[in-house]
Formats: sequence, structure tokens, C-alpha cells
Amino acid sequence: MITLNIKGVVYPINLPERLILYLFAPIQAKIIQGLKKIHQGWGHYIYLVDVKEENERLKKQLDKLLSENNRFTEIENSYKRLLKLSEFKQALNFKTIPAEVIGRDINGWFSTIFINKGSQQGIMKGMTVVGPNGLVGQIIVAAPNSSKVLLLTDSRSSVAALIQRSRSSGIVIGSGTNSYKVKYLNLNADVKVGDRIISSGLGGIFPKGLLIGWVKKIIEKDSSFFLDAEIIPSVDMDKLEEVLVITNVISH
Amino acid sequence: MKFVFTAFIIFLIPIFQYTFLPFLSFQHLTPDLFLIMTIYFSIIMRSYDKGYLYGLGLGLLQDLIGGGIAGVNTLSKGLLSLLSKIISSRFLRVHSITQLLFFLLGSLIDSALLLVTTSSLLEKSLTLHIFLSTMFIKFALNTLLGIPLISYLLKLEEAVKTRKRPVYYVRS
Repeated sequence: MITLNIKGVVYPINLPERLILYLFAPIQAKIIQGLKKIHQGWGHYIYLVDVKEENERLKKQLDKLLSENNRFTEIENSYKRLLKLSEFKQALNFKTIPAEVIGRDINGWFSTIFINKGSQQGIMKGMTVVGPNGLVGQIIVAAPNSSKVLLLTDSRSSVAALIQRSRSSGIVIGSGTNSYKVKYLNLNADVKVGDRIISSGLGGIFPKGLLIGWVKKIIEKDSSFFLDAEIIPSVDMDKLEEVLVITNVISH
Repeated sequence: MKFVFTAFIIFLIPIFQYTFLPFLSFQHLTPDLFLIMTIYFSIIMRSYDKGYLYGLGLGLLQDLIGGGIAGVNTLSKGLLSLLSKIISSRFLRVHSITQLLFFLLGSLIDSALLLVTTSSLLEKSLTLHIFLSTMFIKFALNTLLGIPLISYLLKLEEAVKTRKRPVYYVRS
């Protein structure tokens, strides 16, 4: 066979070779295909293990970055709020203590918040609480390290107020929801929608000149001797996070 | 052990009520965890006195910590615990539908007392529409939070009761 092969006589050995090839080639092909698949599968598996690991690593990194991003956004928001509060504090002519809102009791007609400063920090019952945009309420309970604030929106709140432009006076009363009404304005009072309403200082509880809100709607009743008006509050009580407690105007 | 567990739960109620639950407020109303826990205690307490005392205690705690008119919650939670105990022990077995009834009852008592006190003491003119809408929002909020919470606590208590105790062998 070797001689024949060397001599170039191909045919006699070509036939069995072809036969064997014919018989085994499909099996071989299948085996090779199978092996290729196993090889590819293994390669993919190894590759996927790497990809999975990388994916997990990237996910962790993304989580970390999102968390950091969230933290920085929170810091930025906090900074903006504190800056606004600081500007407001400088504009006020009162001595104030900054405090953080640590809890809320929102239950229909009653609205109170809890702040993280109390009698040990110099806070007393009756002190006025303001936010970056205006009047918030007053302290009703001062515990050693926390206090309870009755919000202006509470049904029990009332503040002597003035229409800033015309100096007409009335009383702002909380409605329980996130709004107030100014009541007992004279029938001939000069009130327009959009007028600013400020505290008048009468009664000695709230200092004069603090912004309460803007006139939204004037209510005129036939049977009443007075005008009422709905107010858009200057402070969104639901979003209050930091407040200032005015310490040098004490009523009680 | 049971006392410590109960005390721990009572300690957690105001924390959750005044810090986390305001985030779930709807139309200026929040779910009332004190009411939910009053129902829970009236279900698990075997005697009327204990359930009633827990209701009164929780109401008083809510009045002391919260900023509403003092006494309203003491009265409403006391009444609710008593009524829910009577209903659960005499008429109905405790399951989700009974709890729905308790939440409806609790929201009704709470809203009615609030209506009476605010309209009489604060001289606010409150309409039937406001009363009904307040009651239904309260009912919906309390039910949504209360039924899963009470079911979970009841399961937890059942698991604690039926927990296998370790067996100790003594060598002779």
C-alpha cells in the first residue's frame, strides 16, 4: 500500500478510503460539530462568567454612583434651602434659632409639626415659627429637646393680618387643609386678587410684617357685614423641612 | 416576653405615625396607626378590660403626642376597642371582612367625634359632604395599611405561640 501510494497508483486505495470516508465522515462531522458546540458553549460560558462578573461589578458601581448622585442632589437641595433660610434670617430683624422638622401630625382639621429644638435650646411656648417664605405657626409645647408647632393651616390658628397695599385689617384663620382664609375685612376694604397679606402684629403673638400669603379669591356674602378672602399660602406646609424660631418676641 | 413585645410595638407606633406615614397622606389625611393598633389589640386581648384599656391608652398617647383636641382620640379609640371586642367575641369571627367592618367603624367614630368637636368647640361649619369624604378617605387609608399589617402581626403572634420549644434530655 505504501509502495502503491508512493508510485502514485491512487485508485486501489482510493476506493476503501472513500468508503471509509463515506461511512465515517457524517459521524465525524457530527462529532466535530458537537465538539465545536461544546467548545463554543464552554467559551461562551467562560465569556458569560466574565460578562456576568463584569455586569455585577458595573451594577454595583452604578448603584454606588446613583446613591452618590442622590446624596449630592440632596446636599445641593439642602444647601439651596438653607441658603434661602439664611437670606430670610438676615432679612429678619429678630433673633432666631434654626430647627429641623422631625415629624408631622396631619389629621384633617388639625396640623402640627415637631421640630428638633426645645426648651434646652431656648425655645418657649408662644414663640413664632417662620419658614423661608413667611409665617409658619407658633410653638404650643416646648419639651427639653423638641417642640410642637401649631401650623397656620390648623383650624385652631388665627393671626391678625393686614393687606399690605391698602392696610386693611382682618384675621387669617386656618382651614385644616393646606390653605387659609382672611376674615372680618371691612365691607368697603380695598382688596384685590394678588394682594400680599402680612401679619399685623396685633395681639402680640406674631411679629409685624411677616408674609402670610396672597389673596386668591374675594368672597362677598349678602348676609354678612364683612368680606372674606381665600389666600394662597406663602409657605407650603407639606414640604417644610427647616424652620426658624423667633426667640426675642415672646407673648407669654 | 409578651409584655416587652407589646411595649416595643407601642413605642414604635408614634414614631411611624409621625415620621413615615405623613408621606402616605392623601387629601390632608394620613392612615391612623393608633386606630389600626387599637383594632389589633382588641382582637388579641381576651378580656374586655384589657382591650378597652389598650384602646384608651393608645388614644391618650395619640392625644398627648399629636396636636389635635385633647381627649377626642382617647374617647374614640376607647369606644372603638370596646365595640370591636363586643363584635368580635359575640357576633363575628375575626377575619378580613370583620376587620373591614372594624375599620369602617373606627373611621366613622373618629370622623364623627372630630366633626362634633370641631363644629361645636371651634365653631366651624362642617357639611355632611366634608364629613362623608373625610370618613371614606380615612376608611380607605386605614384599610389599605391596616389589613395587611394586622394579618402580619396575627401570623407573627401565631408563629411565636406555636414555636417548638427545645427538648432537653437528662442523663440518668
